[in-house]
Amino acid sequence: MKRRELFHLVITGSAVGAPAAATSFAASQTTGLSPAAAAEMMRAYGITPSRGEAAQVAMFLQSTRRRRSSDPRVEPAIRLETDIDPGPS
Amino acid sequence: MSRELLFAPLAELSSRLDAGDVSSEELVRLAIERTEAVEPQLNSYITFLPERALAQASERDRERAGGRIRGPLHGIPMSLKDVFDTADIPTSAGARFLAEHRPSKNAVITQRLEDAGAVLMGKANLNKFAGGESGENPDFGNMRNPWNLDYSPSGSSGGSAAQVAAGLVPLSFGSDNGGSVRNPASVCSVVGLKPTQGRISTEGMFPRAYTIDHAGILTRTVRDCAIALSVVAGHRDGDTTTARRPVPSYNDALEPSIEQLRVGVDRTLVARAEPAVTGVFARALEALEQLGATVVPIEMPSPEEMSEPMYLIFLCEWASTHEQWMRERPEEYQGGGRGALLIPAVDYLDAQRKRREIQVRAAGAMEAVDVVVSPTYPIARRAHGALPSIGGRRLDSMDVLRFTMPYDLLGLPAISVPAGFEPEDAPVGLQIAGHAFDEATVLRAAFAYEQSTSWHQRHPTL
Repeated sequence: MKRRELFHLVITGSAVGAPAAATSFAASQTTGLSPAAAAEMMRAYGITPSRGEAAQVAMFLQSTRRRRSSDPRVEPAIRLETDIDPGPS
Repeated sequence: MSRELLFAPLAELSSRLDAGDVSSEELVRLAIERTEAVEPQLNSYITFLPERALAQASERDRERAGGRIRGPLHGIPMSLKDVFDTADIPTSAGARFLAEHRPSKNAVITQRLEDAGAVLMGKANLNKFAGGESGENPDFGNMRNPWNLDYSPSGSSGGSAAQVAAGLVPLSFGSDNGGSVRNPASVCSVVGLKPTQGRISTEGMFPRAYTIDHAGILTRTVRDCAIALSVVAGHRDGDTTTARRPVPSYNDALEPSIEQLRVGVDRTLVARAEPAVTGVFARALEALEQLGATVVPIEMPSPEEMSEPMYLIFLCEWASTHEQWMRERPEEYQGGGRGALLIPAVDYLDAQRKRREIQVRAAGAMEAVDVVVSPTYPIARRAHGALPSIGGRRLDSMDVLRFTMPYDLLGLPAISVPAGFEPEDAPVGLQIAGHAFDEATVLRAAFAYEQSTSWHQRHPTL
């Protein structure tokens, strides 16, 4: 499975040509990402999970899920400029 | 005499050096004796450099005798948190496997200090990779608080804060990306400044989270902090981590009056500290009003709202720095942390957009005030190990960073200044934050408050 497909799984919970992982991910939706899916993602990224690590990574990745999305028109805060204009009040 | 010198502000030491009352070599010898006496209890250094410091001090004395004064720190002993690159001196970032890493050149801040004549005593202990506020390091041992050795000096710049508090050095430099300068300053009763992002170079500083990292200053007085900031602030050609802003004379900005200064307080936020801390904070607020400041209620974006983008940005930037070691040394990354390599870039950019939204709202909330004050750290004592409970609820790491972390995400300047003890051996700090690149007002408010109290004149009995 390609990495971007696995990432897509994490973002949307839907599979793109990835039936096995999609199934395991869908099955994990009520309780979180499955260790098997996390292990598959790690291997796709070239990392071999150590004993018990995939379960920890699955929990870890669940903790990074977004609660809401940002406004895509907003410029990301990656410029070195912290003197912010608050705009019209 | 010797104890008096150990706890003298660097401004006074500088005057004494100028007057010929004392030499840099004498100051460094005193610092070495002091370190050898108390370091076994504090565990504040990873690399202690007595011979090098003595040689450097002798050179500074010769330069002074020849009429050459490099700058305001000429001959002053100081330490660096072990995240700042030092040419040919190990820079470990608190990780044992990097203990023999010898950078080929100085960090920008290291070089500026050398150019200004400072004498490097050594590299201070820290939380491994500058991560966390516990004052613990599994590789180099836990740091201890000089006010009470059973407690932590907090972190991650715990070694630096302990050294300044205990009279080992009058000046140290740390890094701050969640409160790592200010929280140790609070529980060690010293001054800790995290300036605006881009004010002090972070080039050559071991990164934790590139867009959130700040370098910071630890001293015993606000004036010393202003002097040190003037030395290390500002842009240098080729440095991509500093803003091209003029650097004012921070020392000149200090005055004991803050008449008409508008001081913002978010009382909802402040209520979430332990009673000992809120009591100290209430008295500090009264002191600011007595000095002529006007307290203005404001509502800042909540730490809870900030925590989501902070978490994502931290993880992604941390993973970016550590990727190679995550692959080669998986044993160093327990608890599923290697999963940070798998967070999508769109999530990272989403977090940075949320950060910008929060920055804009915070700027709006702060329009009506000159500074914002709060406690620095919600607890007066930081034991090693698990965090304590407040109101029956056990604190987590985000709870204890709730006052400091926002200003890292916002990139705004914030200082912790000693505000009292509750009880006698448990220092509490007052945090004063300000507008971008307005460190002068932050320092002025901190100085006026400090001059109205005597907390900065107390030192550990260690």
